[in-house]
Amino acid sequence: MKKALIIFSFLLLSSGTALAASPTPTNSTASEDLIEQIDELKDKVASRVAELKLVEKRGIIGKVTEAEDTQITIEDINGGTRFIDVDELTKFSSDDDSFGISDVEPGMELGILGLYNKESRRTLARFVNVLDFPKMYVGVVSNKDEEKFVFTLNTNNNKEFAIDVENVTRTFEYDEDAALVRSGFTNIEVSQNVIVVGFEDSKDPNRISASRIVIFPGVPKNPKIMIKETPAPTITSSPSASKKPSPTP
Amino acid sequence: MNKEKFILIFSALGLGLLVAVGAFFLYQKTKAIAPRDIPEIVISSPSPTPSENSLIVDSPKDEAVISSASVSVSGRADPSAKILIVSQTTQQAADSTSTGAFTATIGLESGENIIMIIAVLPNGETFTVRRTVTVSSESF
Repeated sequence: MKKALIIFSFLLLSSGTALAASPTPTNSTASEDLIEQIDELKDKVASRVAELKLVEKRGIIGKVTEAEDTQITIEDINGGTRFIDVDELTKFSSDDDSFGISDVEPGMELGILGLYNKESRRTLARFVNVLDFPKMYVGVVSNKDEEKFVFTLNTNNNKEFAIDVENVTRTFEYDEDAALVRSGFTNIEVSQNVIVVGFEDSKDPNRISASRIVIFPGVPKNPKIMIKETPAPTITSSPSASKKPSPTP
Repeated sequence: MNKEKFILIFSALGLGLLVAVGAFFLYQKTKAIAPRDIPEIVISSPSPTPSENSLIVDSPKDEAVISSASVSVSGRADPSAKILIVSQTTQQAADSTSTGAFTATIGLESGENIIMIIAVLPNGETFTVRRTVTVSSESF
């Protein structure tokens, strides 16, 4: 009886071990080849998907800080530094037909359309355009000269601009119904929040020729912007402003 | 004699097993938490309104390249904020809902466009977000 029990226990243990240790059934070498091929295909698809996800089309606007034969460094509109690679397929365009990489200079505003690589964080430019866009400013009116049609704008980053309001300048006010209503220079008041779209004077970067202005009546001034009530700035009338704003639709 | 031994052994094993199972169930019962001890879990809104000091723009994505001549601008801000969208050629006010969500469609020029979204709070605080959107159908 004892012998039978020992034999039974041994059989039980050995069968369990054998079950646990037994490898997956191998049907044939053909199925192994098929599995190998599927795995290979899977790898190929995965690598292609990763490659496609790694590169995407992007359009960047920025000011040139450095230009070399095959690379342009720009500061984008949000203040980030961007590296742009240029190759023989990159197309340049500007008012000058012969414009090329050798004509790119620091300070120029460029629009880049190209392929952005998420891994290297570099953009391979396919199209490079020289831009002449109006600037957009957000701030508070700190002074106003009724006679010269000029007001002073203080911005969040402690900059001060003289804003020329011209005949072509269109002024709007943001009303209670969330609509933009036509307004005028007379409705612009000191301590008012204001948005200005305009072009820099070529001689004085702190002087802006406004093409559009949006004011926010009834809203207190931005508490983050400190303004001091100073006499009107010594601003001469601006016939010299090289860039006149074009009427907007 | 042997038969009696085996009966005794199996009876002892069975009894031991019964005691072990009983002890296990008793232990499990002590681990049960009374309903009154379960704290009430409150799930907040899945899309909470942003704090007063923020402007979130969901669309368009910065540096997006699109083929249409207009783009939907959407996001969230303080519900009482005045929302203004300005591009280099046009401007538009946007209505926001009670949750602060806003949407507006703005026309674009061919090529590069800069869109500035501005939220002006009733206390005068101003928040801005800038986006570059390029209209292009070039394939490369």
